[in-house]
Amino acid sequence: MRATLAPLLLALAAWTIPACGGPEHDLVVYASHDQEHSEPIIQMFEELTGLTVHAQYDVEQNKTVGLVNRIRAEAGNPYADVFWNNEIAHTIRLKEAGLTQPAESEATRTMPEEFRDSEGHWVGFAARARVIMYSPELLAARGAKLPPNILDMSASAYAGHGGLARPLTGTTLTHFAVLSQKLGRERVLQWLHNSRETDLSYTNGNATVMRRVCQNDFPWCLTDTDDAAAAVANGYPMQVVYPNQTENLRGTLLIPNTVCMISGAKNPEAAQQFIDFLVSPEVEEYLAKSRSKQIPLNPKVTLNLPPEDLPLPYRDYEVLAVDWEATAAELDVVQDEFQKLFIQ
Amino acid sequence: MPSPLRHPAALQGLAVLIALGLVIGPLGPLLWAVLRGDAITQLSEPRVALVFWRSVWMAALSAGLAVAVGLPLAILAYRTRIWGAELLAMLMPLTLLLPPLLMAQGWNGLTGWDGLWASVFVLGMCYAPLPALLASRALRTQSAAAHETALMLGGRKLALREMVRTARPAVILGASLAFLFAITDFAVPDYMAALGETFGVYPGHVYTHFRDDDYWSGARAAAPLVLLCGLVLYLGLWARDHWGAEEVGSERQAQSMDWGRQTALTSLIGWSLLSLTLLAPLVRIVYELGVAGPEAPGTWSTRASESVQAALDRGREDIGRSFRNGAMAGGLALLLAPALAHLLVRTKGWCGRSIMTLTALPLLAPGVGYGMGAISFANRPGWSNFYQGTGLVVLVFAGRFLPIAVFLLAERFRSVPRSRDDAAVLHGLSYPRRLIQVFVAPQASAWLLAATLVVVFAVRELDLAILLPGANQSAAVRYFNALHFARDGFVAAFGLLIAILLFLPVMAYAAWTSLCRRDD
Amino acid sequence: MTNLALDLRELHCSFGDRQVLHNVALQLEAGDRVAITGRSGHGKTTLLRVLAGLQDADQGELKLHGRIAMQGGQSTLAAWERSLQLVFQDLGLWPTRTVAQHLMDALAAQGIRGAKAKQRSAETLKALSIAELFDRKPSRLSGGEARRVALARALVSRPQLLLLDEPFASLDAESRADGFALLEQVLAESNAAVVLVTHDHEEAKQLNGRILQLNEEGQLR
Repeated sequence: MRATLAPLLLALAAWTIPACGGPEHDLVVYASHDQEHSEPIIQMFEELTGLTVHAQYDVEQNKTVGLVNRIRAEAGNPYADVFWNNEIAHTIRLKEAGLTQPAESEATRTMPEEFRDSEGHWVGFAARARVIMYSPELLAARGAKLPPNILDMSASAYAGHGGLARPLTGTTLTHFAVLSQKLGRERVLQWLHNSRETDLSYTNGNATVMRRVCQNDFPWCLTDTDDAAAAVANGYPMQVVYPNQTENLRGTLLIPNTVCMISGAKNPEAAQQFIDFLVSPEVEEYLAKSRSKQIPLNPKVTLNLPPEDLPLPYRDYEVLAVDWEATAAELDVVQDEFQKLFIQ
Repeated sequence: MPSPLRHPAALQGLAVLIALGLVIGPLGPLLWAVLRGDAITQLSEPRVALVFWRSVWMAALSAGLAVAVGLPLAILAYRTRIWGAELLAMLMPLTLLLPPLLMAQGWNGLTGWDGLWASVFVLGMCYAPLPALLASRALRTQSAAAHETALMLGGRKLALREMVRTARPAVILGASLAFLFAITDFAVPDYMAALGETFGVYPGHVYTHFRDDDYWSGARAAAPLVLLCGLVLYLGLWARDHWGAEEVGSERQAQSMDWGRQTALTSLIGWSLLSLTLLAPLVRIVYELGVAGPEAPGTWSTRASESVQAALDRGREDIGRSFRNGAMAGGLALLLAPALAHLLVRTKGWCGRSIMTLTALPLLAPGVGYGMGAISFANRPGWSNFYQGTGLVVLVFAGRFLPIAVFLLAERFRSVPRSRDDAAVLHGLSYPRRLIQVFVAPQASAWLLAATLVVVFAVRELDLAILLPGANQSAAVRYFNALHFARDGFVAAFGLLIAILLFLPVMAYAAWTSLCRRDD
Repeated sequence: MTNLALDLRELHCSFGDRQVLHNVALQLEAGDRVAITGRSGHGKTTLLRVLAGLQDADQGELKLHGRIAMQGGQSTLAAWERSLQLVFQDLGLWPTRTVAQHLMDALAAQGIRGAKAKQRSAETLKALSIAELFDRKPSRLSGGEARRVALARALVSRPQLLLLDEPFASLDAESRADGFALLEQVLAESNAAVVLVTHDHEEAKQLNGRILQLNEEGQLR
């Protein structure tokens, strides 16, 4: 027995001990994006610059928003240089907490003003739109109609046929923070309260609500364009409507990816290079043509895609104007209220 | 020549110090929150109390279900002659290798069940192997004399009752562990609540607080859960100590019981129970490999093969890293667990149970809390190599899952006759020698199983993988990332691949035990 | 009196509320043999464990060959420093070690290793007529063989005091007689004092020494 154990332990040691040191790198990137897309982009950056990136990824399962937690926990001795967030609210909250630093450049200034921080702490790119995805077949079979705008989703005529993610995390939380900031907190809370009485379905995430429409549980849902694109890529005959909202809420909400430099980053030059690279037309074009069909924001991007394949903001639909700083502040307050409503 | 090595205190003290370091380092603030009494006061808020007590009864039901399925499964697979008993015994632990969320998706896809009761059911099935595995160890040590006497006096009915009696202490502990895992699981209730009737569970409250504010807020929210889990574990150990009976009689082990004409029926029951805990959801997961909408190109098989290929291409390196980190954590557990298990076995009464409960703290605390604690402990100027390297990952993973190894070994060490240890003391064997010769070597298979379980749980761990730099590029992060971004085929293929690879250490363990048997 | 092999005085030992040994005293010179009888549960094994240093008592003084081994019930000399050995009722053989390894482990603790240890082990096994068991593990020994191995392990380090806990209790009369003959033979070559505990009066007689009784009150008469 001893003769068997000794080589086993030696082999284990030979396999494991060399890995005990940390990896050599020129830049640390925290990326809370689809790993399948972020990995090749980081690789492209490495090939282009010759720099080595230590990438760290996130998941939204368990509602931890782990990398944001980690940046907060590491505040005294930052490990990350850059945070690539697949939404915006948490980036602004990091800025409010003093955990980011300005990272403006020629490249970042090419992005539209409404999608970058006035002090240069963050910049948005490659957005997702909040849309209504529906199954035409099931809608017809049920004799149901699509809600004309977001606020009408809770009306009894529509609610029983649709669903959305609970506004506790991710883009749905951001969406409801925007609504709260624009329409008033009381009105949004009342809306959520009413919606639960009119049988609007709530799920734990945008992907889940999309799946439920694919499984014919109900004919429509409020979700993100990347989830709707995933449904179509998986062979489900889904259609998408870009809701134009109401008088008070003109336009469809776009939620961009955001990138920021962490305060006290140990590799600021490489970090700036990476930020510039992310907002470049090449990366936005790559993400637009990927399965998730992220919406390019850089005016220099020239896509040869027809509108039915990827409708573009301003050209094909109106965009809701958002004060992101105010939205992030609102989010801090309403999140507790939403939790009280949904975690019961 | 007297030597300090002959005294257990030095080695046991070292192992305790390391284990305490792994507990107190990352969990200091959480323990402080418990000690300050915050654990109780926050439950005065009706909404929090409602969610907390719901979690308690849900987990209690899941633990009960785990016993109801796990104990018969253990008896049928390990102690009776049914068709394919060995294969059944080998497949049974596989459930523990699958992420519970994957099981939930499998069951939902198969039956359409959702909501609160589906969550209770799935968690019961996920953790049924815990009482089953612990019971199987106890069942194997039942003395032949006790079993045969029961068989002669009261037939199969009494023999079965005796088996249950023999397994009872281990089952109580297994049920406690199932309760702990069920009450701290958030992914399954969250998923089931998203599909059907909405309900909240306490881990949701804990995660929310870890996200929103500082670590203290999360620690405070986690405190009631940790306190409750500690109490349950203590009571489980107390029940085992008070209701358990040590086997007396010959060292000859009882043989498997023959079912005669009832073999077909009992075999059907055994395999049906395994279908509940493993086979049925697994079949559905396999189906998910190539499932797609009506307009998707290709056939099921071409899509399935693409999914598997993608899983192999994209996930290979992550799986390698996860296994390497897990193996190192398992290796550390191999070194630390025997001394701790021996200390626990030799420390009787409330003191022993308290040490055991304290040792289990990293397992009882939410992973996110343990990970955040590890960051605040290890992320210091000048420590960057340690912080970003594998060393921290190994310490943290080993710290979190060491209790599993220690518990399992302590259960086995408890059955070692005291005279063997006394003989070693009388002959002046050094403590490390005594530990190896009297306890570890005769229980080598349990020692390796303990380390294997540490590997398995380390590979499955998500919260710590997100939070620790050296653990981030891992199979768990890639799996859940793909799940979040709705890559269904990839998720099914990657989940299966991880499960199959996790099964390898279990098979290695089975090979080892057969080697040991041949050696003896 | 200072050269007593064993000098035990005023030993009191209890488990919780139950007093198992009450004011026990025992003196043995080198080569003395004493058999202690008593019913099951009357503290016979506890007495041996206290003598061996495996367990503390509530009160009592013990000297072994003039060295203080216990004071006020607390052990002052570790079990392995007492020059004694104990043959356990259930033998306490180590399942993964061969017979030879059992003996060599015992010798290694005394600093005897390598060829010398191997030779001494072989001689002891031969003396006990079990030389052929050298490479066997306990799982492949018969009950009688295992008993001889346990005895060989105890004797190989040439202890000055041998403690026997019902060593032949489960054997038939003939095997037990053989066992005592064997014990007689090995003890003839040493000057070790022997304490044997048993519930069987016949077994006690076969030791050919003093016979004392441990009564229900935990007193030695």
